[in-house]
Amino acid sequence: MGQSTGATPPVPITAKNKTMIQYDSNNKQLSIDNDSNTDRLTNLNQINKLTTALVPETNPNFQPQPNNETTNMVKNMFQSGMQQAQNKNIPDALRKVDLAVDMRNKARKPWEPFSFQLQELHMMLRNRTDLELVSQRNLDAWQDLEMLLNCGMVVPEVFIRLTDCLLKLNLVELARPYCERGLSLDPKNGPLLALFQACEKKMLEIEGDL
Amino acid sequence: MSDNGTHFNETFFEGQEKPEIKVVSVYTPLVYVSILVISLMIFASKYRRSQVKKLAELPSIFDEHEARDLYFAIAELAETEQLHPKVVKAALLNRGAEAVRRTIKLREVAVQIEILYKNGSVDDKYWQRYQNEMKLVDLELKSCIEEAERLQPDWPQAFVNLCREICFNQALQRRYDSILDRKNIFQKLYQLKLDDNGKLIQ
Repeated sequence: MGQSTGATPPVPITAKNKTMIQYDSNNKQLSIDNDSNTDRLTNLNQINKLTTALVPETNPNFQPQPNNETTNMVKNMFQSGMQQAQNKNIPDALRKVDLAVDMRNKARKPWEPFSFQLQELHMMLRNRTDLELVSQRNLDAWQDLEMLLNCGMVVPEVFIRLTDCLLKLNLVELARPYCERGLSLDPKNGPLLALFQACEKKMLEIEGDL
Repeated sequence: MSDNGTHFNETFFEGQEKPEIKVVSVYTPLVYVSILVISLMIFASKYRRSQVKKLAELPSIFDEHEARDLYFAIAELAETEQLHPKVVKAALLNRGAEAVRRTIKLREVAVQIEILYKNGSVDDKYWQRYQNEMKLVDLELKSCIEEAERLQPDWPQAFVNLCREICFNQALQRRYDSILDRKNIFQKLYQLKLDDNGKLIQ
């Protein structure tokens, strides 16, 4: 149930290695010297991110609310990317959507409502995946689709895209289970049925039966 | 001559020896009871201590509690070094978020663990560990709230809500951050050759 399974056995912070934590008064960030414990480093990064977000916060009783300024900034960048996509300028569109996602990661405060942040990320990742599929960046698309699945977006559309990009990566043995999973959600889905037939055909080719 | 109808002139009890009555102090039962109570108390305390020791020796279900350890390390550092006050607050929020995460994780598996325990698939020791962990996460969250109150008296109400949002958002961020790592791992695993634009080289 831990956050990570780093190979290094965790060494608890004792009086001896407490001194390893260093504080930079200029950027208000903490760091640890010579520590390879992934869990500890992740926690320290989270603390640093929280500090960065807390320092400019003037209201001591701040509540979990979305920041309108950040929302507008991210939305503008994303819409600009979508405009590029409409003009068939896919590389620029992808670059701008990438920037919008990065902007969201950096500018959103960690306590802004999760439901809002999840919805925003879903929307941007869905569009980014389509752009990646169009520009044949299938490995990137695969990872984004896995992320969407991990975030609870279990819908046939995700499985159509997953099967498609895995087939293009020549990973038929991985594509087929995803296609079957999609069909279990919607057994009459046309594109999924077509993709399933393509999977079957490729499997027969690999096995030398066709 | 009058008699008592038994042809003897003495009563039934007059012929017997009088039982010897020992004079006992009024404090004797009190001393007896107090010795009994004290010995019971000593036994109970020793038993409880041995039980607590046994429970403390049980390994935790989770890994090390880095968020809590870091909070105490930073709070101690704040005593010797001039830290920005919001650094300690950030560490406390991170500790609170971790406590919320552990609470959610344990509640998620509560039904399954109970079923496994009732079926005999999980032994008493593991069940005890689970029960132990439930109590510990509750205590940890309470301790975080007390610390929040110490740092800012009117904060606890908002603190719990903030911790919950932070916990979920951190989980989302961790998943997003792992995309790049996963990409590199799969590229190596399936020996995918990509060009500079990320397209597959056939």
